[in-house]
Amino acid sequence: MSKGYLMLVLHAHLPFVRHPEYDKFLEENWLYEAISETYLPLLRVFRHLKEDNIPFRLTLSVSPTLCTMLSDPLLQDRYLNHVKSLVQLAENEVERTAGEPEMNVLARMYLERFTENLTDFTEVYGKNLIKGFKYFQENNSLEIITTSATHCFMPLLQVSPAGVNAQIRTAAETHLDFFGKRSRGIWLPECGYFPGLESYLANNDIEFFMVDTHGILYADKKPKYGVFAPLCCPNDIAVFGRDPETSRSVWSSEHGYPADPVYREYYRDIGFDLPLDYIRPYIHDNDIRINTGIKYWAITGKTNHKVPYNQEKARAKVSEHADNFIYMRLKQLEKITPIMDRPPVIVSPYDAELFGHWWFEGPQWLETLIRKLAVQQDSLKMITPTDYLIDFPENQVATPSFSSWGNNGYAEVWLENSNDWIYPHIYSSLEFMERLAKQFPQESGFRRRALNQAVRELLLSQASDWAFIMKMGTMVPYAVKRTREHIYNFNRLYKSLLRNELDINWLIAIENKNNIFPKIDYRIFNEDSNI
Amino acid sequence: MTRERLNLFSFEELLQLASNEDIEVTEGICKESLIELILEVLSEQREERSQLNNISVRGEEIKYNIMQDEEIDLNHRDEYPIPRRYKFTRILFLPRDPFWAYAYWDFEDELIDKIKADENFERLFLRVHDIKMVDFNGKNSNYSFDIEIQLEDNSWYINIPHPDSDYILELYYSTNGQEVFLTRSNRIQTPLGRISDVIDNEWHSENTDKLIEASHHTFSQYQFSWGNIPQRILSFKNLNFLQRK
Repeated sequence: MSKGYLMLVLHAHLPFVRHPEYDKFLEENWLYEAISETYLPLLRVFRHLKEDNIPFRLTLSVSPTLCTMLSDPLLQDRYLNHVKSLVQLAENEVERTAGEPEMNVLARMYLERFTENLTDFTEVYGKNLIKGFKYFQENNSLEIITTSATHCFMPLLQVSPAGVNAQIRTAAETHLDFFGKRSRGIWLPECGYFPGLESYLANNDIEFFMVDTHGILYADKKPKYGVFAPLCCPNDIAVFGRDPETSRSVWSSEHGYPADPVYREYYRDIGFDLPLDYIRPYIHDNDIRINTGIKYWAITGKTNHKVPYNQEKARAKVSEHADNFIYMRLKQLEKITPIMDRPPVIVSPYDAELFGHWWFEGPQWLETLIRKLAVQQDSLKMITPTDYLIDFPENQVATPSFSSWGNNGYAEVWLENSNDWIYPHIYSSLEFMERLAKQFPQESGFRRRALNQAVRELLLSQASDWAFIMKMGTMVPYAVKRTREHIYNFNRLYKSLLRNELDINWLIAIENKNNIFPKIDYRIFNEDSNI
Repeated sequence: MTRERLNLFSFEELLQLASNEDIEVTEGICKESLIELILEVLSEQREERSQLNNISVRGEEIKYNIMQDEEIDLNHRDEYPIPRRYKFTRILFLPRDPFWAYAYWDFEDELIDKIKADENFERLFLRVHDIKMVDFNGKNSNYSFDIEIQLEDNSWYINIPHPDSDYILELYYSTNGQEVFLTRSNRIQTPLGRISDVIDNEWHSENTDKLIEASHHTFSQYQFSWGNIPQRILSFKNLNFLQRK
């Protein structure tokens, strides 16, 4: 009999970045890196576990923008070229490091990984990784859920019922198209919740969501079990709260597992370390140095002195850290289980891209953890939200608190001096869209296409990623440009529709470029969404 | 940002970059020292920003990290011109955390012209109403206070008196001793910001406090910091004209 449950939740998301107007585009590398370092390695973890008959139950949210990009033929072909180029670079590295045994063994490791990525991408998944995720959904290993359509931070959209409805409805419909099953739950972007959001979720047949710890602890009623059981909103939607202890052990760059000195150093990439003449074909145009994914050094310590990465040492540490994670959970259960009248659930959500991209050994750790959970003990059992709610359908009724997992727990990351200029535009566009939907209730032809495109542009402008990047201060010009582009496109469509002066060629061009949500129907803004 | 990348810029471009980042440059500085200065300031800024971020935000930031150079756009081409204002009279009110909310407002051009032409114009102000448990009809708030604004302003962060309450904003101007109502915002609810005192008897046990404590464990990250306030803020504490009804 298990003494408690572990609910591991991985959230996979990238903003919609697709630039057919350029041959090569810097920010498309976000996707390529995530495919190479996170999504393909995670799928390999799932495959290995399946091959060895190790049962597992993981929750994975895959954002509609990421699904769209993973299924997009242009981006698939671009990734194929990207990974082929990496195989070539790794071959060069094997040759270049021939006289340095410690480096050479690593160059061979990268050659093997990139070749495996190439084979998996083309031969196993036919260039579409959604097939891989869907396979593990169908054999009951993954519970796949959605997130809001363009990863909008929902608390800052709450003033517009039609806007909230459009984000949730579009997400639910897109998820069904990609995965052939409705999403029973939703990952709220940035864990961003506001009281009342559950009504929109219920309207779209969504049964559960997750919030950060204080979303549960600061609910309108004192939570009987703390974060170790879900609450139930007054409209019957369940809400699970993040366990802070497991978050810290994996997330923290100072005290978490990924900070161990033997693990691979993320910031020392040959894209930055090797001479331009050598690395030029594998970095961005105009000699803009970018990550290649080939990194030879271990974290070592806080100084610039680094020792070569050692796979054996890292593998041993992965095993040690998986043991430690289980040990700490069992200690946690020892404390909690005796004072609860049902087995506690420890909810551990992470950004999927943390595994493999930043924490190189992350996928290996996950695989080791799942194997150890399956064979070494029976006190802690993996569970998904749907499984839990079948076993425990009765939960305490309370409304969670407005919350997020951002700094200080609310909206300050997405609403501050660097990014607050976005919201007046978003709200004006939402009001204009409602006017358009009323004025043109049943359109066809190009006018209908323009109205649908207006909704796409509106949704794309609401991505939380842009406000986040503005706050972080690194790729700011791109985030600003993308926000402005969608607001501009929306306003131009709005005016052209009112004046009956549609520029058909321009409409076709933006439809081809921002081709997300092909089935979107602008009449979603005509629905009575005032819940 | 790398030295190698900055070396590719002309001296004029580096000056432009320094100006964009509000870096003070002494007269007669050479290119090498200017690069050194920019590198130092950008690195300090990055470090400061990072220190304010919690572990989730730091982890998420790495997702977008593909290069060591900050992306730089020196051209400032207005490729996508967007409206500066939408020119209809409205206020938008967004809750930010238990103590702060963001207000944005705009006016029709005709109204701006009218106010500018009004010789008896006295002041333009926001009225913040506390409407907890109130079906607001414009007059029945629990209490209200006013914040004077200028015609050229269009947004403020407002320090909210109480967590776990409801607020609404109204925009007014006064002329010749009379208050003229312009528009009203949406209603917002500020979060509780602490554990509730409300106990559901069916869902309570002698161990509830222990379980909450176990959930808390490392829960110091949400201590609200008064030292970390957003810019363009008008503090409630500094207001002289709080009107209690």
